[in-house]
Amino acid sequence: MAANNATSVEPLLTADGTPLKTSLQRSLRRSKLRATALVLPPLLFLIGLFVLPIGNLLTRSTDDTLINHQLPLTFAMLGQWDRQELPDESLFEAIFLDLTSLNKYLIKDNFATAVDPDDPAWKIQIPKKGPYRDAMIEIAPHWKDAKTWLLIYEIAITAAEATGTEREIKHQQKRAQFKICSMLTPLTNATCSKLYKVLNEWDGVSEPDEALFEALYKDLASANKYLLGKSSTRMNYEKPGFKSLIKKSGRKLKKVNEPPYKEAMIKADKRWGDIGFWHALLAMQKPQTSGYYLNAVDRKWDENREVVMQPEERQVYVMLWWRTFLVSLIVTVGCLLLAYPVAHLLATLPLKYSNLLMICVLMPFWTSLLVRIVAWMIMLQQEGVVNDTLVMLGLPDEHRLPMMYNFTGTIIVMIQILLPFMILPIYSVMKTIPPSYMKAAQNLGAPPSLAFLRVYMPQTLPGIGAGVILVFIVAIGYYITPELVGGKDGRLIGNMVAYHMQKSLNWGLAAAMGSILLAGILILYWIYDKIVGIDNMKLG
Amino acid sequence: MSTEDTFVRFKEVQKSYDGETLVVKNLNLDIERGEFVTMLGPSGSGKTTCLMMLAGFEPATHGEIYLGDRPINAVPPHKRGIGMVFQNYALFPHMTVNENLAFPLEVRKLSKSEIATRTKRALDMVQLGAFGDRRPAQLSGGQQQRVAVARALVFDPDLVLMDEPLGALDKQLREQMQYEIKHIHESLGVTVVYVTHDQSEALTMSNRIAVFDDGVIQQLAPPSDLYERPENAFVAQFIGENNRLMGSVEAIDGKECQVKIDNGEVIRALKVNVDGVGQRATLSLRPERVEVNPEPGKFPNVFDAKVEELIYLGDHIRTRASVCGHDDFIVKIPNASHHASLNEGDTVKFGWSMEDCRALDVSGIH
Ligand SMILES: Nc1ncnc2c1ncn2[C@@H]1O[C@H](COP(=O)(O)OP(=O)(O)OP(=O)(O)O)[C@@H](O)[C@H]1O
Ligand SMILES: [Mg+2]
Repeated sequence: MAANNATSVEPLLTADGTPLKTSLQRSLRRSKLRATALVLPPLLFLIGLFVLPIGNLLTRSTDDTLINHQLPLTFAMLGQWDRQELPDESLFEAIFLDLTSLNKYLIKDNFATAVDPDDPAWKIQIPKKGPYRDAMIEIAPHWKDAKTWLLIYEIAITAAEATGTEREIKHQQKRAQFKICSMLTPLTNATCSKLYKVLNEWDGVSEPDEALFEALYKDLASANKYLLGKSSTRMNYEKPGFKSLIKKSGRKLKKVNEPPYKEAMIKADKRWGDIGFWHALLAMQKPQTSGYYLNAVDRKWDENREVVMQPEERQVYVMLWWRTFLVSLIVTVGCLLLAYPVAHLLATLPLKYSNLLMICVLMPFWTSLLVRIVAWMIMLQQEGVVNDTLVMLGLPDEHRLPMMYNFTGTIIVMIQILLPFMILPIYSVMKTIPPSYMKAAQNLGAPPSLAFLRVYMPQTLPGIGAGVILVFIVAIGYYITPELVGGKDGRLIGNMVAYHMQKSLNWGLAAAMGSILLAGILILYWIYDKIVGIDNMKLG
Repeated sequence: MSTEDTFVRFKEVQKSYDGETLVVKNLNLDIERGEFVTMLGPSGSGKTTCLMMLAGFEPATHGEIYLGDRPINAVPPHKRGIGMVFQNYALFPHMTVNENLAFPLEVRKLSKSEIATRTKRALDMVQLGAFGDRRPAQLSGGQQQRVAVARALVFDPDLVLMDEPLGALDKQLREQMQYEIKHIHESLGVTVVYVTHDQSEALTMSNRIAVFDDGVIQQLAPPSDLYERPENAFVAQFIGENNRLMGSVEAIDGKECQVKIDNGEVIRALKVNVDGVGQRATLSLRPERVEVNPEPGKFPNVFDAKVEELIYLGDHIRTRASVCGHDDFIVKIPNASHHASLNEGDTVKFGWSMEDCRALDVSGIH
């Protein structure tokens, strides 16, 4: 008894005297470790292939840092502009320097709000044919110091000492050249080959000489050219024509050596005198932009930083969003109407027939998407099987129904392709409903139709919910089918995303549209959770 | 027996699912108003099928079923007005208990207040008044079972069918529920057709039991008759324990017959289901009707027995002995102080009366 009382006060011990808690934890640790080891690979896979890309997508859709690297001085001065009239000489000078000089790469505080426009270093000209050293040191004295160079020097010599096959060595060197460039500029895919070469000839201690500076100048110059191309593309999104303006005036501006720049620039290309281009710059001023999102819904910033509609002829996306929503809705409802009876048949037919039917349902999964679409083309086109049959049945030849390369075509083919996604979840729920419920309902006095409505259907709701969500989500992002059979008025927002990913390379806009789609789906999911409850959803 | 009061009547009903075998063979069954009739039989003997035909979910292949005096073969299930408790209860999972009970009343378009009072009354009847707002999944097995019973009764049907309603419950709960169902039956006076393959359940609950085998009713009788006076070997075997001795009929004398069993001894037995001299017969004898070392002259049948095994069961001692060449002869000896105590290996005399030993057919034995 006494011993018992003692243990209730002091921590419980095991037979060998260790506290019970400790030995319990020890005994659990092993199984916890094993459990973690089992979960880790899929977790990493999920993060690597799902979370990271989506995170990347979200950042890309608002990222505007590149243009801020290109025009630091301009953006620093832009705040002082009254926006009503053409800017004065100081702003023209700023953009002239940003476009033509390399000073921004040398000056330390060269980004966004950190820029000090009064720093005289912005205006020092580096002679195009050299010597480079003195001018560059004058701009940024820290380049005189060997220590400044050490960082890129390390990269260069580590790569030079790399061992392995010839290919591996080459690869290492190339990577080092990229790396040096990304240290000096915001670009990750420009090569600093000249620097790499001369850095390897340098000892890392002696004062940097002209050769190093010349290489630095040349590499930066080519990087700048590359950056200019990219940022002028970005400017073009805000104001069409900006790219050609930069390209055309660029060559002429190289010959301009002294102020007044305003006059010289307008002379080089008279569009510099158009206030619209200057207003466009306002939208890119911050390192984060909502411009892509505005663009994705046919809106933009005006000169007073107010959101306005795009000009009539550039409005496409709102209409496409509505059409996408409409198509997804029609497809979802169509799938539901077709899938419900099929699923019911599948769940109630004797095994012999239901297996056969199941194969038919799954057949679309086993045939290539393209083959199916081509089959539909054969069926639905003007000279296709369906129209031929109708004509044979008496339809006037000139009234053949247009069912392909339009809205109708998109809907028909999408319903067929997405049907299994609706059938399977509904089927899997119906399969679990014993026939005794219907019997019980009839036994209690409900005619079959009422028994179906009040007893059977409510129990299939989890499957309907899952199917509807699944089909709608897949439909809303669909693009291959509309691309092939949609023609002009069957295109959806997914086609625009694909277009901007692959053709126009406006990834920011594509990412913004993708993000809007994602947000829309999450909202739908949330609404569904509120109404039906996610734990009520059965995916199979 | 077709009296005025016949309420349910199967007339020459046959049923086949596949067109090759008959699951129910020529069923004739009359059930009186207010009766509690149990269909008892081994698995696959066609009990559920009969119930389903009565409820209207399976058409009879041949024959006619009457409810009252109305033939109901062409009446769809929802118009038959028969309550039913399903084996898995079939409570609608998406409705609360109250909604489940209200369902049959709503489809009958009763007023809201009427529905509320009836629902409450039915729930109180099964002592679940406080559980109306729960879902079936939130109830225990026994509670679900009660709800199922309440739902089958809430619309005041004249006939309630129950298909092994207690199959899923443990022994104690099953016994309690048997009592409650019996009680409800008595107080409401509804007619109940009950299906089970548990014989003690059938014996305790029913007015009459229909023993099914192979699609045929082997015997239809009140529980005591069924136990005391089985009409064929299958029923004797199926209901309660019984000793079986095989032999052939030597002589028949009125209601008595003499059967020569296979080791040569002759036993005098009650002639129940044997046709004539020379026929094979099964003798059926309840273990508790055998007396050990009876007074001489008390029984016509007295034989030597060698005690093989004794199993002490508290209130009685179960004794296995070899008698007449059968070494699986069971005798139940009441555990009374004055009684001769046996030892394994003893040789004693067993005796039994002519009436307790029933001469039956040989066919129904599987
Ligand atoms: N829907 C059906 N289709 C074909 N055969 C069936 C069907 N239902 C039952 N059977 C067959 O009919 C016979 C009788 O079945 P039934 O369900 O009536 O037996 P039961 O007496 O209720 O048995 P249990 O005690 O196991 O419930 C069985 O052999 C069974 O295989
Ligand atoms: Mg059954």
